[in-house]
Amino acid sequence: MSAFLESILDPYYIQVLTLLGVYIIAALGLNLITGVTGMFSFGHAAYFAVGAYGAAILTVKYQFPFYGALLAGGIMAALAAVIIGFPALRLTGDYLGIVTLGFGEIIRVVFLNLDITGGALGLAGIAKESSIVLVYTLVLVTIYVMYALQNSRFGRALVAIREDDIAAEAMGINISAYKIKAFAIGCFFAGVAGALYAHLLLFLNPTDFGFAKSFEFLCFVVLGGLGSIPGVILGTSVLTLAPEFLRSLSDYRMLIYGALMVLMMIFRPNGLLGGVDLQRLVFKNKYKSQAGRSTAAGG
Amino acid sequence: MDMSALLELQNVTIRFGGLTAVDGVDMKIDRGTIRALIGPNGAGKSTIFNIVTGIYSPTAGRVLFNGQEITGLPPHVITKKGIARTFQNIRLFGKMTVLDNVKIGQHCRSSCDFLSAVTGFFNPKVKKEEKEIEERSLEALELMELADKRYEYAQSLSYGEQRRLEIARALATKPSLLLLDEPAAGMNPQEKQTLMKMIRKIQDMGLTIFLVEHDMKFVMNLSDRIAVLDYGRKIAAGSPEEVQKNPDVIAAYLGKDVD
Amino acid sequence: MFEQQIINGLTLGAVYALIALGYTMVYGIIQLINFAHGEIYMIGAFVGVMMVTILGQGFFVSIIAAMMVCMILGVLLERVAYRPLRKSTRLAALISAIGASIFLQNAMMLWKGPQPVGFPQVINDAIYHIGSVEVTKVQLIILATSAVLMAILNYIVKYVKIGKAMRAASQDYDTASLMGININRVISFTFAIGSALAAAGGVLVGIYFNTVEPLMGVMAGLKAFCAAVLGGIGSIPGAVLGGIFLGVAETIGIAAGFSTYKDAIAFSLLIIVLLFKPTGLLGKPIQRKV
Repeated sequence: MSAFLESILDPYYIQVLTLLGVYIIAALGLNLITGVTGMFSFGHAAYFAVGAYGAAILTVKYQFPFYGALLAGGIMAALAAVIIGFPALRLTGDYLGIVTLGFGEIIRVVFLNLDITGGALGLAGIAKESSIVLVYTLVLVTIYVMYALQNSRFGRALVAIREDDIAAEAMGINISAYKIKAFAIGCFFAGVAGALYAHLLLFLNPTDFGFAKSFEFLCFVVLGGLGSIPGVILGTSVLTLAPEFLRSLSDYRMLIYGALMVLMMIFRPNGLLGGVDLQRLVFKNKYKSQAGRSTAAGG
Repeated sequence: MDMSALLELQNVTIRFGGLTAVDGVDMKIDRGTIRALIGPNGAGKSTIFNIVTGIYSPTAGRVLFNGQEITGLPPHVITKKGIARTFQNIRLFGKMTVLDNVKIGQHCRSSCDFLSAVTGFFNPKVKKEEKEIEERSLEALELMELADKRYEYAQSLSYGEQRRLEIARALATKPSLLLLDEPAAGMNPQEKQTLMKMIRKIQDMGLTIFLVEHDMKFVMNLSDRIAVLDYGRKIAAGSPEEVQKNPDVIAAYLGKDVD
Repeated sequence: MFEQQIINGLTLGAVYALIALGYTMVYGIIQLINFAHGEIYMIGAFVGVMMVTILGQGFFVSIIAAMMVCMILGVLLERVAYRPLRKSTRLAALISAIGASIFLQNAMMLWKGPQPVGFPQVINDAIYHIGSVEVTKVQLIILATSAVLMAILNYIVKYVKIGKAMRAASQDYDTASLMGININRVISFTFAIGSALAAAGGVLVGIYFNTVEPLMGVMAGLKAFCAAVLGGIGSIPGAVLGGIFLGVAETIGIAAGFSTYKDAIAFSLLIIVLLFKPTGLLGKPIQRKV
């Protein structure tokens, strides 16, 4: 399959599309944290970095099998999230955002200073393992998991916490436990995405995982529509591919990118697909038509 | 120990900085009764609710539920023990549907966690639990006459409907004690009548009800016993007739003469 | 040597404080983290360079000109990127701020190129000895300028009508608007003052380090924001305290041999403070309302 795609598509586009898949996985993870549960996280790139470095070090320095390293990358990121989440998640709103940003920057600086990560020189010699087919298979798995979560008892509790944490607690939800779980799961997907990223780009440098990357992830989620799975996929696609389409504008590319972000927010403040719940509309119409039929039969 | 009391407050006191919001309140609520808590604004009524449900920890005193001490337990644990509440300033999950709001009430009576959620589509145990949650939630909605609004967003309901949805959501937690914080506020006379019938129906199901309300007609008609709070202290308690005649209560509501 | 580090730290901290004031005033009124504020500071520094190199002006004229230009820019920024989003979610406004920040960085890069530009010497530097401590003339000018600007700000906020309106709006936005305060004017004014202070900070840093570059606002802005949160966001004395605290801590940290961890010092301090005092050193505690 990969070979087939490579024969009909330019390798550059395959690389861009594969990277898009990697970002979708990470953005869906952030969506669970910020979109569904309402916790501001401005440091998502750090968990992405933990997964990337964790997996790459395992495959490069310890000859770990790739799939094991992929899973390990996710687990390491989730562990980092639990360690950071315990103190940080007592804060809410902008304060939580700024503390997650702070932890993100600290992780980056630590990676910059460690020997095992290669420090500022970066980590090279990573084998190419992330094929477009593998990445998009995992995108589908992620979409399934997120969809299943959002339609479960677990996911409902997360939305309730976002909507009103005091009422959620009064309804019997242990909000601190759920926040930690949501944070860890979201970061697990960031870690898996990071591991894929490492084995796609084959070279890692701490400067790639700064807060600019965290804000990029946040933009994917907010521009697409917080809490909406199709929205996040659309938002990530638009923002990842836009610079490619704007390539002809060469130097003006990033200038227009910034202006586009402002304009998109002004004209769609809830994101491209924010506030659209197709599932609810389907259920509602089904119920309405059933209710209509029963009254018609009764009358 | 008196086991006929479902909820007992012993010398409950809470101070915020220099202010004593609740001051040495004792109270016993018998099973199956409707108890009202009245008093002027700022008397500490909602604060007592917040202490009973674990949102605040009292500075002194104890709260017993079913003869068991629950003082200072976190809110979600208290809910699981069987105390549910509504809020004075409605706190629904606005961007969730009416049905999902009530399903949240079922949270503490169900158990599927995130791993079961992921296997949800193939796991009969999860499917069964989801079905039960939906059925029980619909029962609560039918009782509060909101079943036909199930797929509306909670924030799109009228004020009276939102108050009823809060009760439905609280009922879904399967409580033995239901705390209603100003349930009739903002309702018109017909809505209040309907609400009164609904509350009686809930009492007939075996629940004990503890309510705060400003509408005196509503309180006098509905309650078995009434406690009166003024400046954080309990100044009177008794049947509606007794309370209405109590001179301290009249003074608290009309202001004391200076002599 | 410790006293020496304090002097160096105070100089850096004064600049952080000047930038932090803009963050804190804006946040106090509209609860927005103005992420493009660091870019205003950067543009202020560039205006300073141009005043000196192109127009041949001295320090005083240059810093005033930078402040004026950035005042206008700050007001424009609020009009274009934030005002339409005032009723939207916080994240929407935040993304707009990030977009504006990317736009301003790239606009400057297009114009001046991504390379650092030297800041010509406008002050004949001299070194003074006070006991064992060395103080340069530039450091004294930075400290004096910052102190004067902060005193002016304090006067405006306490005694001038629009400044009092700012304080009212940050206490209670809705009531202030009901009392006949023109909220739009107050917000514009807040952006104007905050931007002017950031521009002054930019010029001072340019003189101190002799160089300016289009991305200089990113880290400086972020750290100044940390300083504002550290001191208690929304609090003007808090921003000054936070800025100075951060500047001194960072300088001492570098002197103690943690220079490779320099950028982590600010964030570590911030996290430690917030975990113990969740609204910052001088912030008011949040009451959980039920």
